[in-house]
Amino acid sequence: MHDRLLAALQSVARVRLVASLRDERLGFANAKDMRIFIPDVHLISERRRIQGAFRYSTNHTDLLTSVILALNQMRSGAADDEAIEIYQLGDFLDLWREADGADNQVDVASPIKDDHEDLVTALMDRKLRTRFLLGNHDFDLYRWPDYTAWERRYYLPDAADAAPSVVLLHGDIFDWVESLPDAVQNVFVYLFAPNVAATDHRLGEMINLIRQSHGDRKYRTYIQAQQPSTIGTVRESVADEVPARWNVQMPGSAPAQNLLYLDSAYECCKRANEQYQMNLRVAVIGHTHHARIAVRETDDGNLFTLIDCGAWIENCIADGETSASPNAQIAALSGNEARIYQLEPA
Amino acid sequence: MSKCKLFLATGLLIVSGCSARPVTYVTVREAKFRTEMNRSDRLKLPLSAESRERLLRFFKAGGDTDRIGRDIADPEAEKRYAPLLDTLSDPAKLSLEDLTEKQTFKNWFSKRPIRQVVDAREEAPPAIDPVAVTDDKYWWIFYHHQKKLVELLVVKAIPPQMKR
Repeated sequence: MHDRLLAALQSVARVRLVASLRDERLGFANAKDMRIFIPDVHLISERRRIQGAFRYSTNHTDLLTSVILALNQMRSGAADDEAIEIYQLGDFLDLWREADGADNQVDVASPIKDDHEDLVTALMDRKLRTRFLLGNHDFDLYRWPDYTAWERRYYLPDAADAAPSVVLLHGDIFDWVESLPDAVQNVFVYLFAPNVAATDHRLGEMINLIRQSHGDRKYRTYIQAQQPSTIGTVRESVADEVPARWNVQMPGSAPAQNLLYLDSAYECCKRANEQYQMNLRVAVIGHTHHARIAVRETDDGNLFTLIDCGAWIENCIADGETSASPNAQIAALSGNEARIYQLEPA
Repeated sequence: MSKCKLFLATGLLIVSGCSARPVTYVTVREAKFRTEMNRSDRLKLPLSAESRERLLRFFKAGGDTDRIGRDIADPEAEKRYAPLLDTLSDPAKLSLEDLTEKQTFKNWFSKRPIRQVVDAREEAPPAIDPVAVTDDKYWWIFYHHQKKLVELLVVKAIPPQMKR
């Protein structure tokens, strides 16, 4: 299925491989089941972009729309015994920048969607059945009727008879693991307990944490990446066979910024495994705007993998390149193989 | 802290922080209280002479389709709504901004538009949010495409407070 996804992407974009990892320890073995991850988009309205003096905006929205339409076509052509599911990993809409600190204004999201109708319509097409995560820049959406199906996390595989091995999160919790460890105790259950429904009280705690994290930041010049994220050596020719390991970041050899949240994610998953009888060994996140696959050996000799899917905002730079490229990444997991691609207009 | 300050602080907390502001949304009512049975017979904008007549019949019946052609529940309807329907027949006044930013409809819809419309007939919430405005008697739900108002659904409003 990876080949089919690649062909679909190449039909609308120039595609480069940021990272790949093929390893049976990923715990997502079904080769007829593909999960595709679209990371942070951070849409705001055009009026707000100008009024707010933001020096950057979402990258390649037309390309992203074309990619989503291609994914929809791929999904509708899937065989009966195949599954192709699309996830948006949070921060699709940037309420925080749209409203200078998201509050109770009911219509903050609507003007953003009005200004990006083609993209929003493509991603929210009923046939695509996109699953959305709430990010820290659009968490307030949980209170509004149209967004009650947007989730805090997903588990994979999602068959009822298997302990999940993969967790999908926006990733902002890992900010707090390091900066607000006491507060995380209160939201850990909310994010990781598989059979606990989110209560208003817990959601309120989450929103308080998020507001605390935002502080007074206005995000005029950047959100996450003041400098372009370093994504290592990008493989130009993806038509050739994709190696089992490409650009995989490991402690001991990778720079510290490429290992960001690897240990925090591992510790959270380990704790969830102990407390909730799960088998988590992969965390799929967005949030950092830094596309990479990072791994570490676990205490029991297994592999823990962090798949950070990147973003469609801010920039990245590959080894050996002198100029940055706009982040435009998409990731996929199928048959115990994870890949992250960097896209550009064809 | 003096008693006066304590009282003031408590009052401010009650007004601002302690009470969560409810999210506002509009619901689409039962068939007999709306201008369409199905989405396929939704009113198109700009209004044609025929759809204008359809709307007026609905208003004269007090927003209850059971009464259309049987009795006049609102004799003032034509006088009240004719200017608004004229505006809705003019393609030059049907941009999304006319409803949300400009003052084009301020004589009829003075309150802030609401963008969350719950319509249980639909499979899912809309990707692009319609715009709901009220003249207190009805909810006027405008659907738009590429920032042009293209369709209209009118639903009889439920009074927020019953008169005693």
